Amino acid sequence: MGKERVDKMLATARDAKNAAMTKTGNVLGRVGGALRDAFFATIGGSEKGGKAAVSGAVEGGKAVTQYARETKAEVGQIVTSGIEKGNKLDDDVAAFLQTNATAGVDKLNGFADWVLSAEKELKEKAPGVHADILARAEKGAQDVGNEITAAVTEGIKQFNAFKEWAGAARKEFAQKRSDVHQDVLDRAADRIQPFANVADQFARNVLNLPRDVNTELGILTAKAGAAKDRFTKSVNEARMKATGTAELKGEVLALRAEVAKLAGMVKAYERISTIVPESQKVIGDETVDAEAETIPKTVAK
Amino acid sequence: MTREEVIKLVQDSDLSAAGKNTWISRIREEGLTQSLVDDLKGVFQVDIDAGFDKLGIDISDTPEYKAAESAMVKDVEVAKADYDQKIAALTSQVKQAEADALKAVDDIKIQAVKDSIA
Repeated sequence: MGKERVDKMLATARDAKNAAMTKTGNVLGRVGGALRDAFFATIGGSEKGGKAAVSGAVEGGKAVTQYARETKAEVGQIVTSGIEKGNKLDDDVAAFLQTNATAGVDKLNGFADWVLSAEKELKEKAPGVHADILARAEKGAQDVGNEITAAVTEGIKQFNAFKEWAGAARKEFAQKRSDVHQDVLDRAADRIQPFANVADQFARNVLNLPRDVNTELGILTAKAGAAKDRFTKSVNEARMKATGTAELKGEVLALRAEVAKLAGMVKAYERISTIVPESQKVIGDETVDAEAETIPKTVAK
Repeated sequence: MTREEVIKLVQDSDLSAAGKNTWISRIREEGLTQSLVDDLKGVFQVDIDAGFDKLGIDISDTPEYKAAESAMVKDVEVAKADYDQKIAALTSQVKQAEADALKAVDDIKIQAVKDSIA
């Protein structure tokens, strides 16, 4: 039977549509997975980052921010480490000063001991030279004191120089931190961009397919509907002719009212066939409105 | 035809009173969708077929009927062949897009390895 054959063709068309949809779903899954894996492999990051690579720029932006946040933490650590290093240098300078001062004091004490010892010895061995020795000893003490003063002064000078350097270094860190932040953002965006490009290109090539397939099925269904209409109309016309012939033969005169009723119904069918659906401009050719909600409904039948 | 014209057509028809009410409600609620038009034609044709059966008119063995049936099948076959061709082209397009995307992913990975070596 012709109608059954037509219905079978439409059923296989719906199967083909479903197969195409399934295939597209599988492809989306495979490419999405490959993008995610590659993203993890080349950049690392979180699940959010993986999704970002697949879904493009918006999620990609989040990944950039995440990446930048992690890297910013690293930069912060470097700065902290630098300051700690500076503080340790502070300590080193203090230790240097302490060491020098202690050495100076030790030296002074040693000299004092020597003076006392020498004075004692001189008193015993050469009383007449005592005053001269004492004068020389005082001068020696003065020299030692000068050495200590010079060492401390030098230490303070070094300490101040360090303080100046540490201040400049801290200022430079603070200045560079924001530059580094922006640089990290730029580099992260550069690395993520290829993934976003692939995802965008892929989406452009594939994501319209379900709509295209639905449109094609809508066109086929409309064409098949039009063919069925033409068939039904011509069969009804032939039947009406046959009715007229039978009536002339006087075989169905008693059913004249029934024939008239049928003629009205056939005419009504033909009028219904001329209806242009409100959401579909043209039936049966390529100009079927792809946005029409009636297409999925027709498909679902 | 407008909605009101279709409603009048249903009212003037030989459908049962209950059937008329159902159809008028559907037309007002759903509008003249393709689905509704198809269903409405189906309902009228069921009545028409029953009427001709009652009159004992069967033309299914006539050359005219067979020619009309053959023309319908041919028209649908042509439309189906066109559909199959377009679905095949779309499927092929998806396959190509998959290959292109996977190659692009491979290129990214290769570039990453090169960068790590440089």
